[in-house]
Amino acid sequence: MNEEKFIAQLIVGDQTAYKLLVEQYGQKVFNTVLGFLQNNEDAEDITQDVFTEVFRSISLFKGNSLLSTWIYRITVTKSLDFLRRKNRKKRFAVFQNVFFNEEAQSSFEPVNFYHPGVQLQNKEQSGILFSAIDKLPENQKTTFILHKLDDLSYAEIADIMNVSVSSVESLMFRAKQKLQNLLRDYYENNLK
Amino acid sequence: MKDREKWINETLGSIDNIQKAEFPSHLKEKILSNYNSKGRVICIRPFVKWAAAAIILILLGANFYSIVQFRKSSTISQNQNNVFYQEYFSFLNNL
Repeated sequence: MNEEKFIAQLIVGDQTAYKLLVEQYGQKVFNTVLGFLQNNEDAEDITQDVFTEVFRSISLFKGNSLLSTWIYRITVTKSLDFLRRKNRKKRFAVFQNVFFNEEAQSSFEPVNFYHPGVQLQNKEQSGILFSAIDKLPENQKTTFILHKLDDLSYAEIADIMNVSVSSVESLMFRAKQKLQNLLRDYYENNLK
Repeated sequence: MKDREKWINETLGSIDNIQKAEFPSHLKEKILSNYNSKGRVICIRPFVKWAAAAIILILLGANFYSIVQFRKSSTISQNQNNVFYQEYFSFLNNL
């Protein structure tokens, strides 16, 4: 179906079109959100939020980009907003720990997430990698997740993030460097 | 040193052939039932909002203008009546 026609059907509230949208983008949205949040329950909640937002503002979609790009933008924004809220709470908890003299938080949090799409033999190491991904700055994290987990090209990521392809390349390079450093620290502290 | 670098590379490559997480069927049902229970969300484009605001303003302006015009015309007709009465009674008085 033509994308314009599909969007027009979504705008008028066609239930079949909406069902098709959920079927077409459900996995992509859920997979991206899960990569960011690293928690199944939170990912389910945010996926619902994304679709609510998509449907609420579909009439505002101007067609300047592909529908998929627009949906990915909403997904990334919602995921990052959730992480910011969560980190604010976490910072407050750390602040409390410092003042009440409780055990300080380690720089590398224990692994508590295993992505369901990882091969069994890589489960342990991927868990450590996801913990390291969680430590990346927002832009680097977004680039890394969209490229590695969603298999998007640099050009597609550039469209979603509204930056140039060379910026995406540079973000990816820095993300890899930072991950190497984090993993090095982890190795020195836990495996040596 | 070699072991460490080897381990880092292996860890970085551990998600190389990662499969996409399966979209839970209960989540799909939840999203669709949310949509069906809430019904269609009526979204108004900004253009429509501004057009509606402009129409309301025009209607208010037209009402205000017609009230002012009505008042003006009623004062004029009152003045005309007064002139008529004055002339009529002055004529009667002369008689």
